[in-house]
Amino acid sequence: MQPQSYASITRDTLETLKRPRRTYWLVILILLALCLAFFAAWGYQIHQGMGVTGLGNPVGWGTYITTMVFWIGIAHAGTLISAILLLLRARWRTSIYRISEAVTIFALATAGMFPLLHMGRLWVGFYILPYPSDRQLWPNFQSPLVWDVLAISTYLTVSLMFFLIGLIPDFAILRDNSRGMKKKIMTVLAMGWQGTARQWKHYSAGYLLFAALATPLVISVHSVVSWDFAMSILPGWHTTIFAPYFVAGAILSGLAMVMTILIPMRKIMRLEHIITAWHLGSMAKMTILVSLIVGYAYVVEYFIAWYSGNSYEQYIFSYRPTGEYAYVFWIMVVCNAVMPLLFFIQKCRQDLRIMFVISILINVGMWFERYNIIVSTLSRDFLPFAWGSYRMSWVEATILIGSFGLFFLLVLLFVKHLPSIAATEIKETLTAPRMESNEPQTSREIAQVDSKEIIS
Amino acid sequence: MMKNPIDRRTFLKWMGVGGTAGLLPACTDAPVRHLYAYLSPAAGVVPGVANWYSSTCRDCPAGCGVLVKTREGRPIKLEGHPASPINRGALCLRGQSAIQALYDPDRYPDPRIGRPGHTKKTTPEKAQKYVAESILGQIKPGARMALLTGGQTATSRWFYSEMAARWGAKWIAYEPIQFSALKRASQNLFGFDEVPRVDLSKADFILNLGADLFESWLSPVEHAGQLAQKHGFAHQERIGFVCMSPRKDLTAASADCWISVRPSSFGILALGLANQLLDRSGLNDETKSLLAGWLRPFTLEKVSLQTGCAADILMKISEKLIAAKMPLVLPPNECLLGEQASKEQEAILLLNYILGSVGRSVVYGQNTFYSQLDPAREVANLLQAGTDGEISTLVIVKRDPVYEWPDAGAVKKALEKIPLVVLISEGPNETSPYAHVVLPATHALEAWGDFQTRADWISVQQPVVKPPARQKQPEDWLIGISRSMAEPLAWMDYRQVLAQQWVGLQQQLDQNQSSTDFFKQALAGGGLKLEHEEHPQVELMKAELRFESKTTQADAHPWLLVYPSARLYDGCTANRPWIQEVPDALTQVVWDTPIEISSELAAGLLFQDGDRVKVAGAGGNLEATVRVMPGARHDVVAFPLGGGKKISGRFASGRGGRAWSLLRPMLDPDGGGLVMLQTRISLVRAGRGSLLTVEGDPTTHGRPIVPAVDLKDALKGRGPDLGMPGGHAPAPAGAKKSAMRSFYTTHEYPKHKWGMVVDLDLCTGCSACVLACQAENNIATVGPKQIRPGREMHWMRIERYWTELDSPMGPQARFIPIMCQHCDNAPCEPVCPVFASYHTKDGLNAQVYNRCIGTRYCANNCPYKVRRFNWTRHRWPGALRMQLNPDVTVRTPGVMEKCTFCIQRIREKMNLASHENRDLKSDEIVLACVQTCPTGALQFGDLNRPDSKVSRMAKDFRAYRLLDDYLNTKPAVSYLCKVNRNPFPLLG
Amino acid sequence: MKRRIEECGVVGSFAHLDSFIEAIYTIRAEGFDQFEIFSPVLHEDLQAFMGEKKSPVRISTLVGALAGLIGAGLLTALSVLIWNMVVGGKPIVSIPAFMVPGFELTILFAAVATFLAVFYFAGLPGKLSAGYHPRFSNDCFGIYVKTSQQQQAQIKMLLEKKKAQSCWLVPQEETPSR
Repeated sequence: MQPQSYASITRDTLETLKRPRRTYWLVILILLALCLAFFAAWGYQIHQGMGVTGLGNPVGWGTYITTMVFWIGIAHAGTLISAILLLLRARWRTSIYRISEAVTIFALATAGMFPLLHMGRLWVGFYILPYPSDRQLWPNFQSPLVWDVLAISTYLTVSLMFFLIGLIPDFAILRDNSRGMKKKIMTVLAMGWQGTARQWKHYSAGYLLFAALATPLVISVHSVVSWDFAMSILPGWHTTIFAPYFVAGAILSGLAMVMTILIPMRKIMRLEHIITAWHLGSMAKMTILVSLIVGYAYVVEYFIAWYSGNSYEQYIFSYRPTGEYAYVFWIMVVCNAVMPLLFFIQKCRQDLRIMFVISILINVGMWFERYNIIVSTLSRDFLPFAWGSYRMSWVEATILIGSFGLFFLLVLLFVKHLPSIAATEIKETLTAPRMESNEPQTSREIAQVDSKEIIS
Repeated sequence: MMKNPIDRRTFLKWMGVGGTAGLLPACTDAPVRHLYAYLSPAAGVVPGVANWYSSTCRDCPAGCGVLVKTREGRPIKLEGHPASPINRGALCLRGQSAIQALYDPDRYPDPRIGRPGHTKKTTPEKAQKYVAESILGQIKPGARMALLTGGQTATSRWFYSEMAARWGAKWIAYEPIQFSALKRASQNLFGFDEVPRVDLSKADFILNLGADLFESWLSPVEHAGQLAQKHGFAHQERIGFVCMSPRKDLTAASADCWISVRPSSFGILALGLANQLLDRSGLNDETKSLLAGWLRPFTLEKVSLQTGCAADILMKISEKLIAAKMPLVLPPNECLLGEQASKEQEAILLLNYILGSVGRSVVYGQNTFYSQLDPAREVANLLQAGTDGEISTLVIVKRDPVYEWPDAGAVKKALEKIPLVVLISEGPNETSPYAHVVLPATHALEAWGDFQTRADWISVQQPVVKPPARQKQPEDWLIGISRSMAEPLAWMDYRQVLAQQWVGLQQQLDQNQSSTDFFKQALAGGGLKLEHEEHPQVELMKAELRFESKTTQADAHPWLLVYPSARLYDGCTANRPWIQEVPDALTQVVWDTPIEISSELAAGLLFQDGDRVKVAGAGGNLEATVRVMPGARHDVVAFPLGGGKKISGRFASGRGGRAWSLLRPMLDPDGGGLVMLQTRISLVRAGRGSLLTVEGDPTTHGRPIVPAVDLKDALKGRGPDLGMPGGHAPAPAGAKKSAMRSFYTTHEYPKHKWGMVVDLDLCTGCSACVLACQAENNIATVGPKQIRPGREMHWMRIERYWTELDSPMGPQARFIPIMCQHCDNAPCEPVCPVFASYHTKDGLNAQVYNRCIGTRYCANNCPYKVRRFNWTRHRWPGALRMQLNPDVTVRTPGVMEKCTFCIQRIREKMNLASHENRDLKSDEIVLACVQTCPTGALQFGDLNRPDSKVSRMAKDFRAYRLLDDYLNTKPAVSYLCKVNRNPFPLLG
Repeated sequence: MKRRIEECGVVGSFAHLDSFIEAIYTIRAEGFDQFEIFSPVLHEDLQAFMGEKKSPVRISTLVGALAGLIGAGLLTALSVLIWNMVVGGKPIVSIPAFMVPGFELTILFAAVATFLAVFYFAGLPGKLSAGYHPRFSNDCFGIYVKTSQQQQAQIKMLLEKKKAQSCWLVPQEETPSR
């Protein structure tokens, strides 16, 4: 592939924003239809009451909460890649972090719908927010659900700001390289960025700080989500490993989703030379690690249940792989703890088709993981006589599928209208152009060249 | 048992009401649908304050006294009348649901006349005139008039015989559930043509041969109370109570043990025992020798051979009977008897005679309700006559022959032949399409009347509300008709008949009181106590029973055992959503009448719960849903009555199967009653159906949910073992441990701390409390479709667990009523994001409906799963909404609800107390469930007060708190564990 | 950077980093210190011209964090005391539970503060400098020396000597060759 230069990067970035093909709009239409179905079903539910779901007593949470946790999980990869890897100075993040951040935000936006969706009285849902009312009615800050609200809204806000900060220099590029309406918009968005020394100074400082803030945040968010369950007293929920277990799960699903998006995207948008097999390979390696952690958590859960000598715990854990929801359990185990291990084989890391399939399987597996945790525990708790089971209703199914429509719609609109590869940061990874020789001069440049050689 | 003794205040209250009640129907002219809280209250009505009317429950022949709670002139709840010697303040689930019959949306508003099946609505006057004219017109030679009614007592009995006489009509008082064989047996043995009253309180050992004491037998509430007093561990006597029957019913479930015997083997059994006991009995020698002459052949070996019950068990039972000072053998519900029905009853009565219980606990001269019924033979004759065209006019009063006669075809044929069929009925029933005239009848709560089923008590029935439309009480229709036949009558309406009768009564009893005061007093007291005349002396008039003891030849096909269930009885309660949705205590099935098949038989036929099967009996066939019953006999299949109605209202129609259709009208040659245990049936799987049940898993998985202690341990004061399986050590019992284990300082309850105690040794699982709660707290019924996803709304449920699955005595059914436990450390509270669920200063776990946003986290986190979410908008069709209790919010969709310990009742009494500035009396507050419990298993009170019942009982050695040892939730509800009395340890 | 109407100066655009940096040093050496540099990327070699002082953004982050922590503490503790309702038998003010809102709000406020600080100190949103050229966001480094009209020629010459790709005066009299 031809050597990359600042100019070529700019060119490629602009390339991605060229007027799309007709198929693009076709896909957009389909996704729009899905969104429509999503909101139609929701409206129906609001009108009819929660009775249109498959929920009941004792299973009060089902598809909605499962899907909420799923999407929040998806969100985590973005922050992981953009913040944590930034702090770890992992070079391979640069060309993919923008898209992963976008995934974070869109996933969160989608996830945010679900608490509202599952609420019995949506119209008074605002009671849960800490707002001053004349009767001084405040939410109960002991409730994990209130933690949820705070954590998720914080997470969304922070990621959004992080995202914008990162975008500004690229907005400037677009501003300087487009005309007409687009130029006007970009001029506004770039907010007069011109890359002066002073701007770079504060920018870099702020950017690092953001990474530093986002990192503990991302850990906390999924911990809090896990506490929705761990703070209860139900067998199979009330356990201390949930926080790390959920965080790992979240990252796994996030990585998988990013792969699922990148692999087709780099092909369609001809970004093979920017998002190289090397980048995806590194993600695959990352996936192995996380998957192993998740698998470990599965095993440890069983150890705890056995070691506790607590018959309630023991029952639920023997029920999961054998009971009514056994299929869920086994899908979960195979997709999350077994399939990713294929990445140990180098061929699987290099063959993008295999990688793509595995990434999809992980997504499926992670959804079922949450379903397994939520539904099986609720349907079999303390008093056997009150046990019951749950079946997803068509409304819930529609909303589940619709949420994917919503998510991918946002992603597709993004990649065609905003710089989905971080031009500026990629430039930083290149060797700066020099007169005498284009040999690397600074330590950083040397480092990166080495790493490139090692990979390829 | 006496709940709250009637103090002066309450008595005066009822009395005053008794007075106004007479006026009430007259003074409110507006139809009941338009009764709101008044701007200017009518006389005797204070908005917001309940009026209590005393009346009589007419949902079964027991005739329990009731207090009707009315608000703003609108009846909203029934409670047992404390002054009634029958139910002593308690009420069964049917009685609780009677209020829904009053507001039944399918009631006839107007009379209808015309072609059968195509009647048109008309005015009462026209209708009466029409009937009168047709009666006059149709008097043709040979043909006569007939009157088919339910059982009648006291004044109404006099009235109907009077009317029948006037019209030269044949009057038949028939009920499908009756004791004609027992009546016949009494006649044969002792010369009393009546059904005796059975008094359990005069026994110290009870051998129950198939009497379903808590469901339909003679007087369920009364017997439940009596048995509790004698048998409950909480009470002193703790007498033995053994059940022998082919079906393990509710009664058997709470007996010391249930010994399964072959169907229709009670006679042999009784004779065998009689033979054993004869020598030890206190009879004079010549009677003994007389009996001995023919009793000898009935040796235990022979009996054991024919009954399928081990000889040594029989021996032990006879020993127990001998040991007892006042033994009593209960005669069966006659749905358990075969073609030798009266013979079997004779045998049992004879056994009682030998035991000396006849005249003591089995008493005659009581003119009980059942004594005054005509046997099925009369109906058969009537139908025959009808078919032969000998009946010109048939007036049917509140009965449904097409439904409740086995051979519906025959009934239809007869009715079609009869030129004029007049049906007086509250709402449509299966007979309606065959009536030329339909006259809308009032509900018992809209009618005058009196009722007597025992010598020492006549209860009074008064209207508490005006009929919503053109309904009249049947007696008034008859009077109206005969007046339009221009017959001279002494009275304008039935109220005057009643008055006249009571004047007579007053003349006999005390002259020095004015007849109105006399009547008022009776009304206020719920009835009239008559001085108790001595039981008549009983002699054995027949020394020998000719009893063909035929061994039932082995046959693959099981016997069909049709029985009146506690919910549906004979079907009269079927159109009440509450009844349809309250789970049957044993099958836990709702909105259906499942066919109960033993696990053994089901395994053989490869049936599972919820399969649809074609059931073919002698009389016909039907399709039903299978319910597999652990521990049931393999040669008996039980099927409840009351299902399979087609046009009897929106809730009854299409629910379950009509058991009668499997039978043929087979009559007991001697007693003339219907033989109900008459056919073996064949079962063929018809496919997969769905079982409408609220049951999850009926086994406890070894969890300490319904622990029990053996009698000998209990007597030593040893409490239940709360250890979990899997080595989780049980914590030392009680609150001390909880405090010790608590991470936080415990919270103070400055004044009150409300709590409840449930004595599981007294709980029979009868489910009256469930309905009382539903009536009191505006709990919606959700209908069959919502049952599958588990959307039933009951705040209180009776969990039925099958325990001791491997015991030789068979699986034991253990019941535990579960309502909100109002935990001190309530798991539901901290998880609520908006404080909709929090803890009050007096220890209640409060739920703020309009703060709730419906996250359902509280329900998930409730280990007792007592929280109920409003999944949809609930409906109270037609007038049913008039029953709603104005003191309780009707919950909107999307909010969580649950048991509040009837907070409205608590606050009412607290306000009353503070208004009279005094402290609450201990146990002054009575919750709906506690109030209605026939056995007094439920107690409520202030745990802060050492003198309250609950605080004492909560310290009982049998007390345990559900799951508390594991979860440390500190419930405010304590359970006193069941006491296992297996009288035959060798065998058990 | 407000821009005076009569402001004038010279812009030099460089394709290569080394010559660019060289140029800056020479400009400095010649005693011109009124200049801005533009770069499409953040390169460590440029840090020399960013001033010794560390960015004050860090301070504002800290302030935001503290504000969030204290705010959360007050919100949680005080709001429960208004009604003090017991839930689950736990203390009214249950510190362990309140740590979570505390943490989240700390992060939130810190992030917001950082965000605003970056904008404030980087002078965003603002107008583009007179010396700015679109290529400076693409592939060229640029220096804009503010000076008087007399010295323009001299500086231009200086920059061209230092292998400036192209050079032009502000206000412009000619378009730079591309």
